[in-house]
Amino acid sequence: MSSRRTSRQQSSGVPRISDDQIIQLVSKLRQLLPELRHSRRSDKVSASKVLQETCNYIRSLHREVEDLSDRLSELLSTIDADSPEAAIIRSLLI
Amino acid sequence: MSATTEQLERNFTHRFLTSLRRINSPDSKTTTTHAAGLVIRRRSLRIKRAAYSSMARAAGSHRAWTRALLSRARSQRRRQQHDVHRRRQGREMGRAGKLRGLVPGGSRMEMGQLLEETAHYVQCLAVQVRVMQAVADHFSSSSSM
Repeated sequence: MSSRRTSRQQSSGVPRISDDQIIQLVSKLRQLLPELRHSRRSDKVSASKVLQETCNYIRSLHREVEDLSDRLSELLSTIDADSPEAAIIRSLLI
Repeated sequence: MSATTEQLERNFTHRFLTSLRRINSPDSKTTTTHAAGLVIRRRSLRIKRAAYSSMARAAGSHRAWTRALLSRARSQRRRQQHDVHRRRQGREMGRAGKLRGLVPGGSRMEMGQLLEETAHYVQCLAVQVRVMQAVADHFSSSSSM
């Protein structure tokens, strides 16, 4: 399997990575996506589909961070964060 | 879970909880219901920023996205700027343009680096969400007791 290097270089002098390396990275990304992870490796998923799903996934994670921040803010106003903190640290870091 | 992911989770959890304690500690807790909503809203923003900063620090400075995120956070604090999305020309803006906008520092990356940084960023985000969820669940079960 030959790895073709594209002939153009970046203006900064950093060479572009090979197409094979890109294929590998796209495959790695695919493994991380909940939508595509469980499909068989032999199933053909285009790179642009992986990129699209990655964007969707990142956006949904950003939204979750937003929602959880709101929820935590509400919760902090109802409890004293100091006392249960030791218990949290213990339970999450076992 | 791999050993490094576990370590990342601990590191992030510790930093994040420390931030939460700092955010929650100010003695000037308002009592009026009108101001309370504003306090909750503003605190939510601080919590969100603390979550991203804690994760960037936990993940380490050898990643371009963590450096980009932390430097953006620093400049926001200093200048109190509205976060304006600037379009960058060149560097294959057409391909993966949306992805570049979602990954910190993505607009400056060449494609290979962008994909690599994206994979790492996604993994860290998933850990961040998991921990925030666990903390929120714990707080809500404590307060309902």
